[in-house]
Amino acid sequence: MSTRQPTTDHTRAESLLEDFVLGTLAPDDHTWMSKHVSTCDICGPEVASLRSALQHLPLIANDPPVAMNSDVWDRIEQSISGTEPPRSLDAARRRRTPAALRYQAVAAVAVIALLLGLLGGQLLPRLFDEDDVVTYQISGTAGAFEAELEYHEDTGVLLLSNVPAPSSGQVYQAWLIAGSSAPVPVGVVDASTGTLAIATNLESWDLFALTLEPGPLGSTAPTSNPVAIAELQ
Amino acid sequence: MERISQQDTEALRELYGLFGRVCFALAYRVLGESTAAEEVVQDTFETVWKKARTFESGRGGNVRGWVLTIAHRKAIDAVRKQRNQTTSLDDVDWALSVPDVWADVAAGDLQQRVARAVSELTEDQRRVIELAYFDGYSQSEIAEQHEMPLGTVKSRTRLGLRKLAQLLQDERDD
Repeated sequence: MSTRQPTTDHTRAESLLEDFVLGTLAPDDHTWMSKHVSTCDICGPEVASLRSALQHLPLIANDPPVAMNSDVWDRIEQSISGTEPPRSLDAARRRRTPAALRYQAVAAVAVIALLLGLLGGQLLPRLFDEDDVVTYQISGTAGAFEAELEYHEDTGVLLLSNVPAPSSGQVYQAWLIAGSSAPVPVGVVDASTGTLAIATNLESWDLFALTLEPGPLGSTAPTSNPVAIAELQ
Repeated sequence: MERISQQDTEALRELYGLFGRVCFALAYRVLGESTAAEEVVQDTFETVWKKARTFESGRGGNVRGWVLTIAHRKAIDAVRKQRNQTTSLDDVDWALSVPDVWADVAAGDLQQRVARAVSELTEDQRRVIELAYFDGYSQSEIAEQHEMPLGTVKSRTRLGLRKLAQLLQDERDD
């Protein structure tokens, strides 16, 4: 006998069903829908049926005009064996900075320079060390937290460094947050070097946060309050 | 999958040999660029490596569906991030419960069957499904961009997917 029963939230679920099946729901709605589907006798089977069609769609993606690089497997193998350099740095080195990102970086520099002028040199969370490196101030949420956070505009890399070693069995995990959306995991700090490099467009994010998570791989969502944060805008 | 969950690298390599190219084709279709698509492929198989323990083939788990769902989700997340849109959680456990009804069908034959089934959808149904599945647009984004009522987009999507599921089931039963 099925243990799943229709729920009173069914009307809401009906309006979210297509986006849920196709993976285009906002995180909060996705979480809600996942719970609903697991308990609804109507939505559960409908979702399963629609997904059974979706699973075949990758087969109609035409062969791309370029071949996949032959070293992709090597990179996977190195990554799972822990010998690959941080993939985000490697990707940033390979990727040409798109013109749009360069434009945005130049625009950001111009706006910040204007603000510095208008504020008469008032201390801001962001200071310029060099023309293409922006330093962000990291603040500990429960006392001092010593680490450095820089954004290298020429390569589009956010570099976290000098992070202290965590306790055994734990790792420092970095998150980027846009507005009130759920934190997005962007990597685990290398405990041996205290660094993490993240290839990203900072225009998209408002806040950087660091939490302590179970090692070695961290968590899909923060399991504790941040130990340090930095405002990015 | 059991070997992968026991940290057998060669088993992961075999899986990569089976599905790496189709993951790349899917990611390339979504992202339109080979470097980003390769990152999705790499990310996908790293996730498979980490989550292999959660896969239980004994309950009819669908390996191909699982791997491709991971790849699709990562590709959509990437393209939506490029457009500064929110993304859903990385939740692919559902694919473990969708049985692989094509386990005994050669890949080439299956591709033709799927293409044939898709061609039997109406143009409207095919278009909204492509916009959502391959381009990562939400139902409301499709409605806005194409100046259609949201209800129209949803019904075309739902009917199209239902029809596709039925056509593929009919193909299998033939």
